[in-house]
Amino acid sequence: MNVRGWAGIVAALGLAALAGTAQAQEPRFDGQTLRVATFGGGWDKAVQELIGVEIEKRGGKVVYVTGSPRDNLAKLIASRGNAPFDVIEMDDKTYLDAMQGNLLDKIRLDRIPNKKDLDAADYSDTKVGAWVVQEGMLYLPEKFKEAGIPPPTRYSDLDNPKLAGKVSFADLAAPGTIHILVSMAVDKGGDETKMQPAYAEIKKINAARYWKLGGDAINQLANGDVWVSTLHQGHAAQALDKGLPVAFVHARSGDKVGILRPGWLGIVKGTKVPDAAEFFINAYIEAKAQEGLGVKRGVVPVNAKARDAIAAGNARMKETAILKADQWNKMLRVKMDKVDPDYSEQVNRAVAK
Amino acid sequence: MTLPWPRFLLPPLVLSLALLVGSMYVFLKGSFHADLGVGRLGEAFTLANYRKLFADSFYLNSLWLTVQLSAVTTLLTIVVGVPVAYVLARMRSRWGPVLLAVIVAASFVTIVIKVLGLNIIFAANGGLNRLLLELGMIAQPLTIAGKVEGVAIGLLYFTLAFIVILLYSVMLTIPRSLEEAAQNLGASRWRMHWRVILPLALPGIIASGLIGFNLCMGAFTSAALIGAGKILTLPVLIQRTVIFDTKYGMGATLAVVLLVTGLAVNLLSILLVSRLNAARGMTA
Repeated sequence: MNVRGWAGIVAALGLAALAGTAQAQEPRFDGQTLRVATFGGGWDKAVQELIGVEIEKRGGKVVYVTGSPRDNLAKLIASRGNAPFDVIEMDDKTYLDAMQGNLLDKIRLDRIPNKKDLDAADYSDTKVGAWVVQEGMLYLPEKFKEAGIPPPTRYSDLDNPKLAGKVSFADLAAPGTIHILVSMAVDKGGDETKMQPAYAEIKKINAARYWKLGGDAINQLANGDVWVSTLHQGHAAQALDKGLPVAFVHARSGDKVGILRPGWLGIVKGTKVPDAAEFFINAYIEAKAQEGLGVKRGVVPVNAKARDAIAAGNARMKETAILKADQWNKMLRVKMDKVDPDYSEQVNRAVAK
Repeated sequence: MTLPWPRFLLPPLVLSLALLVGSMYVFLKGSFHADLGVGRLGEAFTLANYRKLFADSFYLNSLWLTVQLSAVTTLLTIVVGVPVAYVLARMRSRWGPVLLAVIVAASFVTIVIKVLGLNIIFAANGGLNRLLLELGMIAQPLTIAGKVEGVAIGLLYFTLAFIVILLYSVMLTIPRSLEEAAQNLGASRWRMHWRVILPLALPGIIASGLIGFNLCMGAFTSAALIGAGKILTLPVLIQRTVIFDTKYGMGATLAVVLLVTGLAVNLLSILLVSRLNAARGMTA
């Protein structure tokens, strides 16, 4: 055998050894079941197709406990230490409550290498950003035109006699309600701690319905039951994909345009599969998975690479979402820990008949 | 040999009491402790939750709304259900059992599906509203969402099948011969119903009414789905307090007040009927 032949054998052996090492380092979850608390309505299926499948490729199994973050928090509290799931997908109010209740475990951030594509504010040792949605209003432009109503720009525009009985508003149980209320407060000179203007405004708007699921509000628009609803741009993308004649507007709050509402992933205290939980979170924020969730479900990726890919190639998302980082600075971000603790009681009083 | 019939009542009585007392004990205990947030309760015994509830018109209005809605719906259910049950019980046609089977089947349909059906019927672009608008009978589409009347319709839909089935069995116990005797003695059909059927059916109607009232008092789905976040009956408020606010103490207090109110209405009704019966016995 000549020198080239020997060199070829050595190189092949080297490659085989490297592949073997890589395989040895590849985590396996044989016999493990990871339980993930997340949204229903098809979201769980998208998460499974894009993220859960990565656990299953490695011998594990993922089961989903579906419900709103509040429902899932209630399940967690009621379980009294015997957690019914390992990973929870949360809005920022649920995250705050889960932290106050000491219900979340630490995340070993060295196990989350994909965090390199996230903004530093999008992760800590108890939470990792999952996605962002941008709250606004979805409306029927034709109906507005027929009635001589200008397109809405801020939530107070919904307080219009011509819109009486035609407004649908997010219910307290919907995760974005707090953000909408803070926007209303900020727009009238208040803030998270001074929410009275928002309570007065929501009473004045006197919505015909309060929705708990975005899909319900989209159906109400499709049926002509209402002409406008508070929804986020992900809902707008879904409605436009269905061919509904709707338009979306990012709500203004004072000099801010648009509202950023983050979603978080956390690991539940007492999980027996922390490695699988961290692997799942890392897979969740991987660029391809993030892009997939954005395209399939209309949420804005927290992964910058995925956001760039969507901005470059997805017309629907470009139409509905604010994707440029410099514009995010002009959007409203809610300081959840400062929000009036009595807000839910105040809203109940304002909306009750 | 006579069988000791009362003893047969003992096992279901014990089981029912154990289930009621067991679950209510948790609520009752929780209602006497302050909420510390995220489902945690204070150690100290306190009446603060009850003081807050009874001093706040918001909670009292919610309780009053729940009682009113339940009472009105029960009355409507009885008004609609009594004639239906009577006709079914007296029907000689082979369609009688078929119609009864349809009603029994309707009682199996989950309330979520029933409410969804109502929402489709009353959709602004739905067939009913389009027809009424085209006929010029209405200027604006009819809607039930977010309206007290809508919730009452939902509750009626929820309870009607149960009540008709109960009333049907009551009507079957009234001998047909009594009606014939009354008519042979010259009573008009209206008088026969008023003086013979109704008095005999009254205990059964009241019992069915109480069951309907209790179903309405605890009904969550109709109020939540048709009420569209605006009709805050006590069960809706309990769900919000427990699930959304994670205030288990206050949620328990609301649940206890709902149960006690329901029990009080039931006891008062039974007392009233007993007195009525006693008075009627004395007159006779």
